Amino acid sequence: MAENIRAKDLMRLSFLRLGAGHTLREALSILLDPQTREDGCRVLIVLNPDAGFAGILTTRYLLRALVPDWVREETDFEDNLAFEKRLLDSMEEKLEMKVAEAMNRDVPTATPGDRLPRLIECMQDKRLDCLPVVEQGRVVGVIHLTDVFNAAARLALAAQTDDAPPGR
Amino acid sequence: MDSGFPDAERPRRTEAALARILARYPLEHLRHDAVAGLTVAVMGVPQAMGYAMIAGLPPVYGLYTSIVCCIVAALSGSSNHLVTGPTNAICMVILSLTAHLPAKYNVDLLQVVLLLTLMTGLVQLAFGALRMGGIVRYVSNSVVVGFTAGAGVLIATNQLRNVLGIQVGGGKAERFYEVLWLTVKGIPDTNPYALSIGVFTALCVVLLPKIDRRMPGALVGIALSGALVFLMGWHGEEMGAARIGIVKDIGEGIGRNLDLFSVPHLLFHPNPELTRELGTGAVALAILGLIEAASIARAVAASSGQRLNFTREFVGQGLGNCVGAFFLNFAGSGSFTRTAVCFQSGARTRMAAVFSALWTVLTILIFAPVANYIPAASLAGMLIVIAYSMIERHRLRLAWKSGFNSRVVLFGTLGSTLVLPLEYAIFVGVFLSIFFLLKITGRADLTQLVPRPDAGFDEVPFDRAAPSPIVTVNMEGDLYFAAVEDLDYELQRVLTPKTRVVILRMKRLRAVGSSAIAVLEHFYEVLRKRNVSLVVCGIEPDLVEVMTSSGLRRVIGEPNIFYADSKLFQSTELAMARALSIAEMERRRERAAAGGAERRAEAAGLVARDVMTRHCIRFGQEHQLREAIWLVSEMNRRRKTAEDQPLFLQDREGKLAGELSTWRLLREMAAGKAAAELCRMDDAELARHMSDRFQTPIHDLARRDVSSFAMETPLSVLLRKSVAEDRRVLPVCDEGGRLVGLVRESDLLIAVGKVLRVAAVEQAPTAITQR
Repeated sequence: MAENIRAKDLMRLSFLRLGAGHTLREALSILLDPQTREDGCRVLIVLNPDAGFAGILTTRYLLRALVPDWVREETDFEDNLAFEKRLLDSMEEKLEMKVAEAMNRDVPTATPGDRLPRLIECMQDKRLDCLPVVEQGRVVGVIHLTDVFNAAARLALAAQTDDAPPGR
Repeated sequence: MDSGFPDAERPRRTEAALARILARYPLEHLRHDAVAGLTVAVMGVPQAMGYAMIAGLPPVYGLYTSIVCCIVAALSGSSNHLVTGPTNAICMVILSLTAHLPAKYNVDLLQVVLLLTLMTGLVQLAFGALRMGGIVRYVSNSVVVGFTAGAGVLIATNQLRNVLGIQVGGGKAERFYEVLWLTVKGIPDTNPYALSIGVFTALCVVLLPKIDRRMPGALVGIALSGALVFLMGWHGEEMGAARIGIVKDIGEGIGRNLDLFSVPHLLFHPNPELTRELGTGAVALAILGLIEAASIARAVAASSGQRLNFTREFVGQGLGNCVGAFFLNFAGSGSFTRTAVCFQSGARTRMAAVFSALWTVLTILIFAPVANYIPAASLAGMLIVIAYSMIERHRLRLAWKSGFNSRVVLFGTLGSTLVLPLEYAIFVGVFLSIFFLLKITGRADLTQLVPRPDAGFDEVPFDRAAPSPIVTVNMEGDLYFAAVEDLDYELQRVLTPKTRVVILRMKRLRAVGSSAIAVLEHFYEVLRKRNVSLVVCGIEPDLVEVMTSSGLRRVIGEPNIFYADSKLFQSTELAMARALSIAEMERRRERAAAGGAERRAEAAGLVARDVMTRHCIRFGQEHQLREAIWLVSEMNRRRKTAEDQPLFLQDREGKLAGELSTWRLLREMAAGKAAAELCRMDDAELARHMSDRFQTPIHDLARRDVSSFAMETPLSVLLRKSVAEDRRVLPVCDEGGRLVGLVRESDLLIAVGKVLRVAAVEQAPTAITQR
C-alpha cells in the first residue's frame, strides 16, 4: 500500500471565500451562481479582513439565519399565503445581515497531515458538510463530506475485492 | 469446417477424398449400404423415368441422371445420406426453361438440356467456391414448401394428359392454366385404356404401401400395368387411336448401352444467344437445386446428428451436374423421398447412394428391353400421386400459421410458380425470403425503459412510454446495414417536445459496426439541433473500440458514456442519474432565462414540486452496507459535484422506507472505534477494518422515521421544517408514498433567492477569490 491518505490528498484547492463583512444577500447570490450550483458547493469560507480564517457559512447556516425564529414556533400557517408573504418579507430584511453574524465560528479544522479516521470523526460527530484545512492560520483547502466519504469508500471497497463478492 | 465423414478431417480434393473413402470403407457398413441402396433404387428407378418425362425427355435420361450425378454428388458432397438425382421440381423447371428452345434455335432438346445442366453445375460450383454455403440459411423453408407445392400442381396438370392418353399441342403451352385449358378441351378424346392404366398405377402407388410399408407401390404398379399392356397388346399399332403410349415411343427408348460419355454438342458449336437465354434459368436452377439439396440434407442431418458443411454440399451438387452434363444427365438435386428412404433403410455412409446408382445400372442392364414396354400413362399415374404428395398440406398449414411473413413467402412463391415462368418463381421466393429475413433480423428491436420507483426499470413497447423529459431507449438485436435507415427514423419518433435527454442502452445490441456508429452519429446530430442531450449506456468493449476510433466517444463526451458493467448496478441506472441531472440543469436554466416578470408570478405559492430536485439515490432496503457504499460513491463519482446526498431506501412497492445519511455510512465504516485508535493503523489495515461491517443489512442502519412531504407542500412549510427540525434533505413523495424527488437546502435557498429576487452573482465581488 502506498502512502496513507491524508487531508492534503483530499482537499479541494478551489473554494469560495467571502469576507465577514459581506451581507447574506451577497452570500446567497454567490451560492445561486450556476457554476457554484453545478459544482454542488454549499459552503463559503469566511475570512477576516486580515485573510485569516474566521468561520464557514454553509447552506445550513445561511438558511437558519434567513428564516426568522418566530417561524419555528408558528403552527397555524399551512395554507396561509399571507403568512408566506410575512415570512418572505422578514427573510428579505435578513438578507442585509452581515455574514459574521450568520456564520459558524465553532467549526473544527483539519491540518494537511490529518489522517482519514480523524476527518471522518470530525465530520461525523458534528454532521458537518465540509471541513476547512488550515495551515498556519490560513485556509489552504476545503474538504467536503463527499470527498471524505469517497475516499473511505474507495479504501474499504478495495479491501473487499479480494474477498468473495457480497451476496445479493 | 467439419467433415462429412464420421471421423475424418476434411479432404482437400475430391480425388483424395474418393481414394480415402474407398480405402477406409469399413466392410461392416457394406451390407447396410447395399441394402439401403437397393431400396432406394427400387423406388428411384420408376421415379427417375417419370421425372425425365416431366422434363419432357425420354425416361432413360432420368436413369442416367440417377447414376452419374448421384455418384459424383454423393462422393463429393457433405451429407452422408443425401441421394442426388432427378427431382420433380427441378425437372419441372427444366421443362419450363427448355421446352420452347429446340424449335427456336433448331437444336436438339437433349443438347439444350445438357448445356443447361453444365451451366447449372458451374453456377453451383461458383457458389461453393465463394463459400456461400451459409446463404442457404437465409432462404426460408417456406420457399421450398411453396415452390414444391406449386411444382406439384404444375406436374399434375402436365401429366393429366398422359393419364388421359390425349395429345396436347406440344410444349407450346407453358403456363399451367394454358395446359389445363388444353387438357380440359381434350377430355372428350380420353383414351379409356390409358386412363385405366394410369388410375391403376396410381392406386397401386397409394394403396400397396398401406398394406405393407415396405411394398414398392410404384414399381409393382408399373410392372403390373406394363405386363398387362404388353399381354393385352394395347401398345400395338393396331389399337389405332386407343393405342397406349409406351416408353419406347418417347425418344430412343432404353437400351443396354451404358457408354454414356459425350461432350455436349453445344460446347463445340456454341450458340451465344441460346447460352445467354439459358443463363438466368441456370442461375435459378442452381439456386433451387442447392436450396433443395441443402434443406433435405439439413432435415436428415437433424435426425442423423451429422454436422453439415453447406459449402461442400454446394461443391458436391455442382460437380454432380458438371460431370453429369458429360454423361447425358440432366440437372439433378437432392431427392427428398429417396434421401428419406435411404436414411430409413439403415444407410451408414454415402456409399448407400453410390449403391443405389449401381443397382440402377444393374436394372438397366437386366431390364432395359422390358422397361421399354412401360406405359407412359402408368408413369403419369405415379407422377400424379407424387405431385399430389408434393403439396404438403401439413407443412403448408404450418407455414401459414407461422405468421404473416411466412405466409407471404409461401404463397408468394406458390402463386408465382403458377403464373410466372418457373425460374422467376424461384427468384421471387428467394427474394421474398431474404427480404423478410432482413426485415426481421436486420431490425434492432427498440423498447423503452421507464424507471420504476424501486430503482428498477419497466420495459415498455417502443413509443408507448408517457412523454417525459428523459427517454430511455433499449436497443436489442442485430444491426445490419439494411436496418440503419429504419432505425434512424424510429429513434426520432421517440422525441417529444418535452424530451431533454435521450438515453440509449446498447447492451443487448449485436453486430454493431460502422452502420451503428453512423446511426449514433446522425442521431446525436439530430438531438443536438433540438437541444436534447444524449447519454449512452451498456457500452460493451467492442463498441468502445469502434466509438473511440470513430471519434464518437469524444463527441458524445465521457461523462455521458456509461460502460457495460458486470457489477451490481447496471450502467443504465448511472446513465439515468446523469440524465436526471442534465434534465434538472436544463430545467433550471430555462427558468432562469424566463426573466423577471415571470419569476415574480412564479414566486407566489411555490410548492415542493417546483423546488425539488428529481435526482435522488433510491435503493432497495434488502441490500447490505457494502452495496450502499458502492452505490453512493459511484453516484458521487459520476455526478462530480461536491454535494452529498443521503440514500433513500424503498420497500418493494417503491414506498419510502428509510434514509441513510452519508454521516451514518461513515460512522459504520469507523465501526465504533475512535479516530485516535484508527490512526494507529496504516491504510491497508484501516481499509480492512472499515469493511468489517460491510455485510450489515442497511435495513438495520437506516433512519426509519422519515417524514416525507407531498408535492404540493408550500415553500414556507418546507423552510420551517428544514430549520426547525434540522433536516438537511426533505424527501418529496407522491400519493403512493413513492419518492419522487427531494428538497435540499440548496434548493430552498435557490427558491428563496428567486422569490426575493436575489440575482445570481454576475461578477465575483472583490472579496471573493477563487483559486
